[in-house]
Amino acid sequence: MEGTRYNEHSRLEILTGLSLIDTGTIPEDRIREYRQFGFRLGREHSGAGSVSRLQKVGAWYQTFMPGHIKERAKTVTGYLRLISILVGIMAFVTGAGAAGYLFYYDGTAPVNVLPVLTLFAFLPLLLLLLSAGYVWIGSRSSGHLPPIFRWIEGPVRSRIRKAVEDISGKADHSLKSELSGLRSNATEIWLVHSEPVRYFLKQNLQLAGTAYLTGALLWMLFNVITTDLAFSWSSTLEVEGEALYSFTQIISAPWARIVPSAVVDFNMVEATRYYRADRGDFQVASSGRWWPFIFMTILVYGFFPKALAFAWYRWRFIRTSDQAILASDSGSQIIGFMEDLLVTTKGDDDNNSAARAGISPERPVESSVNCVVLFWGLGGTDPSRIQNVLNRKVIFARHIGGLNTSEEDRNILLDSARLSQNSSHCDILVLIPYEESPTIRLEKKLHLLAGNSQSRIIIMPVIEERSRNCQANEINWRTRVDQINEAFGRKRVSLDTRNIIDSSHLTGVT
Amino acid sequence: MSHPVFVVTGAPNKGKSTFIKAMTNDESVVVREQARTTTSAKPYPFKIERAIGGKIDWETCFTLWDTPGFENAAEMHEILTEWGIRESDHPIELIRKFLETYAGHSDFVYELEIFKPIAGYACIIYVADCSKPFRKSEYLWEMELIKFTRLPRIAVLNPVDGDRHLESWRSGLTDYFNNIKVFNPHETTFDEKLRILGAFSHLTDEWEEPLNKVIGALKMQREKVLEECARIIRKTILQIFDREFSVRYDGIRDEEEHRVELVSQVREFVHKTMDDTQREITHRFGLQIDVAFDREFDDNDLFDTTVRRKNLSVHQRALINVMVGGGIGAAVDVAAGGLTFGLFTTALGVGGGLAAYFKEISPMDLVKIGSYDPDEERIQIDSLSPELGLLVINRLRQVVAVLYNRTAANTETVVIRKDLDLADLQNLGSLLKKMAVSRKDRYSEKNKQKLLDYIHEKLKEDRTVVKVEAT
Ligand SMILES: Nc1nc2c(ncn2[C@@H]2O[C@H](COP(=O)(O)OP(=O)(O)OP(=O)(O)O)[C@@H](O)[C@H]2O)c(=O)[nH]1
Ligand SMILES: [Mg+2]
Repeated sequence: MEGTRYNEHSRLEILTGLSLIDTGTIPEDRIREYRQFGFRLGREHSGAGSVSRLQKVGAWYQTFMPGHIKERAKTVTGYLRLISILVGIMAFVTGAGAAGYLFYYDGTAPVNVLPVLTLFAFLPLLLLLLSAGYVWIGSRSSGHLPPIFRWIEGPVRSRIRKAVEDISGKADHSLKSELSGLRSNATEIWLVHSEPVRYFLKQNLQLAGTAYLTGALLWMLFNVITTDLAFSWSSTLEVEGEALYSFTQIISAPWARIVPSAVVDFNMVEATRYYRADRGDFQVASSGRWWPFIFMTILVYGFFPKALAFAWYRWRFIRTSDQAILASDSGSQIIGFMEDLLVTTKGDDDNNSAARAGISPERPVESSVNCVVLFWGLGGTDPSRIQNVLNRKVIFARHIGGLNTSEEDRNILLDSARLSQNSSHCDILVLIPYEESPTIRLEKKLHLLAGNSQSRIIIMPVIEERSRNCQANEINWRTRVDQINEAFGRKRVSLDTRNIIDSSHLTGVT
Repeated sequence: MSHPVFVVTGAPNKGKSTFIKAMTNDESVVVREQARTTTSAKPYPFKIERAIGGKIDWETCFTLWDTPGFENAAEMHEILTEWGIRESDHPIELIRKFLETYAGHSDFVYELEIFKPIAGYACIIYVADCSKPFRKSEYLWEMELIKFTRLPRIAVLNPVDGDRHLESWRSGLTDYFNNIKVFNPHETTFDEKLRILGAFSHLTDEWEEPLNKVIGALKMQREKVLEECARIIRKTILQIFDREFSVRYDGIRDEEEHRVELVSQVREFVHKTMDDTQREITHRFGLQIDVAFDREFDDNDLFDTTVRRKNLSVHQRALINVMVGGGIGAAVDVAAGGLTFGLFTTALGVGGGLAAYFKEISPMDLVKIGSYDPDEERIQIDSLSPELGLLVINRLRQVVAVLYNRTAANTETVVIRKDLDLADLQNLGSLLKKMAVSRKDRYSEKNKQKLLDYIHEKLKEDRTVVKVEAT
């Protein structure tokens, strides 16, 4: 759907754009627009899986990224991409050209197998292994970048600097505010050194290698089809046919089963040796049969490893750029803009409408001033100290539960109920040890209280020290209180978790 | 939609508007030294965003009203009690009648403003200055009037100039208010502010939920701001490390002059960057407060003068050039399919090696903080001291810690006077060292994340322990 486009081609462009924009100066009303947009995206996709944050950033980029920045991001990434394409084309042409030279056969000297294999299979493989070694060493030591980055750094940076200066110059006034503090220096360096860009370049170098070998392979096929090639092998060194034969056996081991026609046999090796002076027993007839072997060797030792390296770097590029988009300062902020709901406390100048809105038809119930306090399961505390802790007048304070008999408790509870009924605006506070869980015994007492008094019953937690597990216990108490209220059919008991009492205040030990 | 309403009342010039300003962080609240600054009631809605009907919209959770001070509470009380009150009536009915009867009456201009929002049922917040003595005769009638409404009410004592009379105020107010809180808008902390909102929510059960919603939202917003600040600080550090400093070596001035120029370039940039960052942080907190750093960075802060930079010798450079040049040449040879017979390998290798010997090496030994680039004839700084990163984090941390707890009510400049002990930042030392020296390490996503997490962690620790006094 429109707006959620996020594809690999745009990754580098989005990253560049994000590195160019300064999200800190975007005005509030614009941000609210982003949020509406993010919300709509989320709703439109709520059926078919949720929108990923990457998609959100992508959609934001398509819709809201200021045109000038987008343009620059396109230019800069286009520049990087152009270099890669040119290098790729050059590599392809070079590969095809080299193949054209090596496979040239006009009926006189046959094509020598050895340099072909060296150039198109073994050397590329060797270079690949060497660079893998370099990467491995580089990843273990800090600091140094492969030389290739140092070569391209200068030109790429000056080019990017120009592009960025261009925007700052061209920007109209409204855009300038969004660009102020543009991190041009950071951006141009970032574009050469950031991990995604490094992987992008490495990916394209491997792609160029692949193109070189593709060129060679295609040209070879072309020659095989259009001319009757004769292959031979010759070397100044006195190599025995035996040795070369066993060498080819090792090489062709990977495909010997799958493509038996691409395996050379000993007779052919012997028959296709070519001496510069006399041709020995060179047999032109069997010399064409080399080609499947050569083709497979280039494919397996040259092309495949390159293509694999390309795939690996491509994967790394995609992964790191996705991560970098989300972790970048602007990216994370844009996600925040779209996802975090705001709170505002600013004054309302439209006085009258607010006054009208402010009028609340319900009559608030006044909190009571007096209270009856019951200590549940809090041995060692002194009820007379409760007055110091509360901001209301305590008219009665007793222990219940604990070692009391049911009869004793019953009397205290009935007394409390009566006192709270008789005094105006009087709550019944039940102090409970927050570390413990609610029990049926306590529940029965609460029922007795509620049955004999209309006063509010408030459960107030007491804790030993500000311990952590209270968080978990709040759920226990809250559920139980809800259940009790449900049984009554209305809210009779409430839990006051805001004014948690420190038990040291009730024991006198400080 | 109805929502809770809290009306801030009190005698003139007791800091009602200051209280509002602290709670709302609204810079537009007018606070002045004279009484009668506020002459009409003004609402300050606390709104949070919510998805309503297919789009995101504001939902007002509760409203705080600023009002003028009481000026004729005694007469108003007299009239109201004279009118009497029948058992079935709520006193609010009488107050509405009063507003109708005396509308426009000059004796009660301020009272009419104060009671306008109260007449729609509200909780009343009574602000008093507990640095002044409690004189019952002075405040009796406004308190009686508030009590008369039988609305939930809370007193907020503002120790404008110390709390000498706190106790007499406390005992004087207990007969009139369910709850008494002490709150100093100038020296408050963010948590303290939320606690006050929490106290409001207890005035009546029904209003607990909307207030808690706002408290939750404010808390979350602060968390976000803190994370943003960590990002801003990280950005600053990377910016400083990334910057390239260099001066032209002219061979006329002596080394010391070159050095001084280079150093001042660095110092200016670092100070300017810190200034920008500080402004960005202040902006994130929604405040307009100046922040000043009392101490400038000196050479020892900026450069690692104890370690001499390693410069490659001529031979080393020659060797590298041979390898690199030969490498390129080999690549060309290979690509050309051996057509060139290793010509490029040889030529570029030898050429590169020789080139190293044609370049002069010179004044960097004397400048000590940088190296000399013979191509450009410039002396440049290779890397700044990793300690500088620690110092920058250290100072910006203090800014964040102060602003975290600041409200708009206090407009005094924040001055960061000293650097904190660097010991608790030492863990970061090795990471910063790497990031100061090498771009590759600086741009590694892993290192960047590590740095961010570390700064964020520190900011979270700092907010509860404000270690700086601002003046
Ligand atoms: N130092 C200090 N000054 C305070 C504090 N609270 C208020 N003030 C000062 O007291 C004066 C009056 O504050 P306001 O908030 O305007 O008081 P008010 O009650 O709104 O005044 P009116 O609107 O005129 O009734 C101002 O000069 C404030 O700066 C405080 O906590 N500390
Ligand atoms: Mg005022």
